[in-house]
Amino acid sequence: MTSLLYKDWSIIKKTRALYFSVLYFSLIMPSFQNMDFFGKSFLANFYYIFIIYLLFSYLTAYDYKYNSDNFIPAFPVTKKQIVAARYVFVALTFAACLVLQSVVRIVILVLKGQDINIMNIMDYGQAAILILVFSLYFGIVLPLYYKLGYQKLRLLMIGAAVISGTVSSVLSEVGLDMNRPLVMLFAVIISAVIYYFSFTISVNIYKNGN
Amino acid sequence: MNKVLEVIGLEKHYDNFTLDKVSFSIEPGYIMGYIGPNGAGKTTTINAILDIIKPDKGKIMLFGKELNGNACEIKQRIGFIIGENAFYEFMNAKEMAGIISRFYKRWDWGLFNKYMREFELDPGKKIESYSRGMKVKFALACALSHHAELFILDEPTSGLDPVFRSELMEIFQQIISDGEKTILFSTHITSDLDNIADYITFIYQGRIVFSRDKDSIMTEFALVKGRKDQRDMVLGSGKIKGMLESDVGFSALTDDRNWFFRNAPGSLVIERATLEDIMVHFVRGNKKYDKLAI
Repeated sequence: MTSLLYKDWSIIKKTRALYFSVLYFSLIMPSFQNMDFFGKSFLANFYYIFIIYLLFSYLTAYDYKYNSDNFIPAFPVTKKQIVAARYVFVALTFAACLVLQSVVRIVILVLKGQDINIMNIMDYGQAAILILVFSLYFGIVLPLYYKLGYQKLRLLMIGAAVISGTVSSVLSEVGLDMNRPLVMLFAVIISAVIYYFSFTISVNIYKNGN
Repeated sequence: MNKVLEVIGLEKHYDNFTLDKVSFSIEPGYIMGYIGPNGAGKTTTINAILDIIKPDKGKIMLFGKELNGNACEIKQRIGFIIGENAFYEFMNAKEMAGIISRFYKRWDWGLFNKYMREFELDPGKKIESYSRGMKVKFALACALSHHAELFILDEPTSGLDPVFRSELMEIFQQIISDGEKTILFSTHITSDLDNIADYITFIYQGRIVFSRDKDSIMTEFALVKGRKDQRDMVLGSGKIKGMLESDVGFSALTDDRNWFFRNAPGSLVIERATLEDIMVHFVRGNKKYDKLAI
């Protein structure tokens, strides 16, 4: 599976989407923290999902353009591994975004001369919401991608990204107390279950595809 | 002798096409030409052999093992060239080879660099800047660099000029010269196979017409040519596989050349049939006669 992940990384690092993502998390996102219009959580959460969507979209667009579905399965990998690699890659992208966001927070804390501790390097409540929304978004989008293909799905994906941003915003605004450890844990477990079920559905679709 | 590849009763159904009980096999050290017109089912068969599509029925055995359940292990021993483009062409050749190399346990960079030099390919150049022929050579360099034993080539010469095609044929012959490597080579340009193929499998409308050694095809098949008034007599022999007519006469394909040598009147012309003749007569020449022996 590492060969497939390396393939995806080789594509992504060649695209502008990667630079845009780094730019967003290092420069644009910190500025959202001080904004109030639209509700900061909507914008922040929307862009968060949107960035991962963008990377995923670049990846699938290149796969589509170069007919990778016609030759990747001919390499010594199983179809299950091909699907698993895509799920892992998207999840790793999400994790990388969380890490990048924390790094930026740490830099800001250092610049402000504030103490750094485990509680202030990440907004855990927001992270739990994002994990839930991420797993819902890709839990639905990925099986649809394997069923319908890139062309039919691309507009739907943008719409879904907007909806996901809104959902995460609503979750924040309704006062769901995601900072409680049990609620956070529950959200992460639910997310993992959704993501795993989505994976099994995608494998089934891809294995039986033509 | 052990078979490198055995396709047994392969079936795949699409809305507008069916691959129907396709069976053939190849022994090690030979080149098999897999011929048929466009849309006959060549690529569908190859996609099933390469595990790209899942057959509805049938079995594919490679190196004595069933593909289903052993795909990863088997595909380590297969080199392939498929389709018009089978690479991320915005990358340079070395980057693409870097991706491919990670899929194979026995990838050999020394071998890859050797073939890139031999094929006069610049690994630093983007694949999209390569000509069609250079892309095929690059694919071949990749297929050769992991010590594959079976090469599956789907229309590798399509879109190439005759000089490039002849160069590729020489390379294919070099590949099998050690007697251990085997090539399955699909094409609709049958002239490519005239000099290099040992076996021919002919598929038409999803069914295998024949799968046999090329020498027997060349000795048994023949074109029988005659005047219009001789047409019914020739058809009546029951040994005609396909017939084409013109204003002045007809050209019929038989798989029993000796029968015509023994029994046909001297006014009929009996000629050696090329693979192209055989394919054209089967495809175009069996539509309107009810006495064809097929």
